[in-house]
Amino acid sequence: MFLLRPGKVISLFIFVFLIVWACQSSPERDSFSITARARQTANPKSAAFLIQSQDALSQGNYLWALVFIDSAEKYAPHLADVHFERGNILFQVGQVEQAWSAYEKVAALDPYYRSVWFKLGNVAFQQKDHRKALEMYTKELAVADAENKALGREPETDRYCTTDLQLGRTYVELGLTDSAEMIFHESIGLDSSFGEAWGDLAQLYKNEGDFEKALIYARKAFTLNPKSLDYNYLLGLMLFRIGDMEAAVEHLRREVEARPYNPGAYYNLGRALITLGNFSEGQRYLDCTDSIRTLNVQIKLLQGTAESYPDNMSVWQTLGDACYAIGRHEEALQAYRTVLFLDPVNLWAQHRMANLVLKTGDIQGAIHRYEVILGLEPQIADVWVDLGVAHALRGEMVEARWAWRKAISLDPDNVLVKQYLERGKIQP
Amino acid sequence: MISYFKENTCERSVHIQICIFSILFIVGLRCGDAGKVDRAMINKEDIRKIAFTDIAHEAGISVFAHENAAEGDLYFPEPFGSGCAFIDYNNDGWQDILAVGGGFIEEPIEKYVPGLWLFGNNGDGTFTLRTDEAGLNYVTAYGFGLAAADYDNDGDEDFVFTTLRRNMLFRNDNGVFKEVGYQAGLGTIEEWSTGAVFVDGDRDGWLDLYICNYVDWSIEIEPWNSLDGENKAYSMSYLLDGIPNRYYHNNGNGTFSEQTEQVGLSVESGRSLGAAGRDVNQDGWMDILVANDDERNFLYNSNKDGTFSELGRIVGLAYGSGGESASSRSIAGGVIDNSANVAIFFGNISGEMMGVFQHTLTGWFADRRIMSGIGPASKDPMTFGLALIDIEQDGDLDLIAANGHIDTMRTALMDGITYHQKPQLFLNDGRGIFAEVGDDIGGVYSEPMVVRGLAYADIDRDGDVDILILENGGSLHLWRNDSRCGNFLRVKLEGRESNRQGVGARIVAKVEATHLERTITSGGSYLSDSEKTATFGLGRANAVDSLLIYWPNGQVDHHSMVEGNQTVRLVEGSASQ
Repeated sequence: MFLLRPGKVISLFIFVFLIVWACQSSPERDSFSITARARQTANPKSAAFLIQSQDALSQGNYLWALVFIDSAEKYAPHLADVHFERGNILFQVGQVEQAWSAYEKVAALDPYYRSVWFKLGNVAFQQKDHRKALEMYTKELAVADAENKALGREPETDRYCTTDLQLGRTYVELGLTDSAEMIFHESIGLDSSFGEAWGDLAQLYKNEGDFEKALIYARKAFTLNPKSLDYNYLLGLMLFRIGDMEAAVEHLRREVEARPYNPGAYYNLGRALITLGNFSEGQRYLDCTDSIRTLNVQIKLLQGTAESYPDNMSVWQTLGDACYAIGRHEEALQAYRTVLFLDPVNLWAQHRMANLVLKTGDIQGAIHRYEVILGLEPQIADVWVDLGVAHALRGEMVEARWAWRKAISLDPDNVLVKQYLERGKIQP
Repeated sequence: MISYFKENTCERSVHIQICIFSILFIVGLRCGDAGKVDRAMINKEDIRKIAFTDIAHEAGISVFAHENAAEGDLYFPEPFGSGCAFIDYNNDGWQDILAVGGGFIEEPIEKYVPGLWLFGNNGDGTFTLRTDEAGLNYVTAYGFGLAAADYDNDGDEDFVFTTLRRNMLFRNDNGVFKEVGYQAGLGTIEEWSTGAVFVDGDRDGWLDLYICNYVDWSIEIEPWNSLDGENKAYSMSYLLDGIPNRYYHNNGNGTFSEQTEQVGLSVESGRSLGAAGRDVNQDGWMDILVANDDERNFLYNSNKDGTFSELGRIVGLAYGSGGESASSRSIAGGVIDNSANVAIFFGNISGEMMGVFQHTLTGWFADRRIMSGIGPASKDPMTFGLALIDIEQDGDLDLIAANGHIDTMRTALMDGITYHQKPQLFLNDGRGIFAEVGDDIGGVYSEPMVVRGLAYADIDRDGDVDILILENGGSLHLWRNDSRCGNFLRVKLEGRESNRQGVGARIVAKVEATHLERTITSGGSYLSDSEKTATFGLGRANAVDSLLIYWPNGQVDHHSMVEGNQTVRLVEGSASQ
């Protein structure tokens, strides 16, 4: 599965080409190409493993990603790219302290390594060490400035805007809202289409009670990113606050449909509907607020526990299930992936992930996963049931019935499967 | 798939109120709270005038020790107690101290722990333990809260004592208390009760009783909760079922009848920790506010006929404006600016800002957490004791928040959150905008504690308000107010048609163009109760131009030109001189 495919060979050639190109340096660029020089002398096998690691990471195969990085490090222990990638993997699986160490190594090897200070800032932000985060983000900007000056080029808008955004968010966490406001405006000045800055400013003004202003910025953020659920919701909230109920209802309904676990959306939608005279429907949404809020509180507590005990598999399992139950599928997926990182042969997590994949509509992907699980352990009745369901969703009833019969042979009392077999179809 | 809809009946009275609110809502939103947040304008000189001294030791109350029964079992009730109160038990005009002693959870109890401690005020800055002679020495119960009021209108102050099992009602007979809960109709139900409040729900002149209940708990069903998957940790409230609260109607003959459902106070369980009575919409009828843990807060709005309707979500009091969660445990309420609109404060857990909601003319509540200046500073602490008091006697109500976490295992995992926490003093600049000045004042405000109950009274009759604090598993603190304050006026009421102490009466003082307002209340804060005398700070003014008393039964009395720096006793129906 992870052998070099032709596409990857081409990638490797490009990589080598880039290394050669990078060798043609001018004196001014020397101080910014420590890693470039290191790449020149690094064992090419390290590049290959690095690419495979990135590939595995993109597929969510964290363990394999780490395995490949270990191999890459074996061949190029002093190549900053390797440690940077390791930091990325560890950060994604919640091993933030180890991620910090990895990024620190990068910074030690090459203080001008692109985005390393930004990544360190993200780790500090995650750990709620906001002063440290501030320091790191500021350093990233300083590095960017020095690099641009030395290379005689214009500031890279994207890099500055992204860092400014995080810097601004850190200021917000520290309660330094004036500084945050200034930074967000700076990034808009660099790139007026940077929707996140508009959105964060809208949030800031909302928190300050300046709803008229917040509405202006929320509208702009939504215009720039009409698919963004966050901006859609923010706009809905602001419309509600200034009293434009009909417009608010439109946005809030969309939020409730897309993210049925947002209690605030139910709450404000309910109140808006009541204001518009739709009392019964409004009351129903208000009633939902409580139960959803309680589930979210439980998830928040679990998340806190998981952050504090990142190696505790049972906490991640419980968190994954809680997120799954409420519809927070992305977070559920992340939790299950972490379980697999901690225990790669955890079939329970494999099963959960397969179910999630099925929920997202990727039936083929789900079938593949069920088959992998059954290949490892063919005695799990529930997996046969779900495999049958997946086939049935594709109209493959022969395969579906075959899978269900296997399930029944393992679990003769399974009422649901009996119903499937009797009816020849599944309930929606 | 989550089932979104459930049956919901709509009371006609509620529907009508909703319609009215809806019509006005849009206008209200636009007028209510738009505009950028302002900073509090607090004079540094004013801060320097503020001083408190903890006189617990010299007052003789340092013998008190709260027993929380924490012996390693990590039973859920252990971190929650307890409350304290000021009560003039012997009617000598000096405020005495009543404190809940806690106890042991497992039965049979092997060691005697006083369930109640009564310290009599000697009038000279000292207190003497009077538990025995007041008839309270036999009380053993794992107790939580206190609410004090003259429920039988015989001129002395009684109190209700909420516990982990059976609640008790103590009738005061000339300075000696007798437990009459069962005879009075409180029954023998054993359930975990917390906050309580006396309120005249039907304006018949007799104080009714509302008791909060928390969760259905016993040792047998104590949930096993863990933070690391291996070791037991304190449980969470959502792991247990909530129990509905109870409302007892005062029959006027020393007995009560439970009428929770009949008056519309619902059988909905909220995991309630605190309750307060307030006329939030100033229609002359008392409403009931309830602080719930891990559930939305309740506002039981009076229907003006002795019944109530729960409107918290609809009027915007149940959650933050964005539907943010709140795990509330304490309540304070009062008029904090010249608008004459009541503001309600909810003390919440660490990680949640204090809830600050101000009633608007449209009937809706505006979320003022941020704009009041209180929100961000209140986010880290877990607030229990909560009170609005005019600390500097400049006329406006300041906010004191006494804090302390409930779980050392959790605080060990939380960045920046500690188990012992400093109390906070938020000074009001007169516009309803506050600044936290505890660090500037130092002294008692720089001492981290694990506070639960908080009550206030003028213990030395010098015109300013002193503060009593109780720590879970710890001691009592008595903060004597030594601030160099302005002039004052204290108002004590005596009802004739209304209940004897005037509980529920609104007192409005006009000092030139300034509107000052206080309400005689029972309950509020956390599990605690305070004196039934209103204190107005007058600043440099020597008199109150006009004093209006809105009595609970509807009578309105007007008094003109009331001299300051005294305590006046006003009888219902008395006219201006």
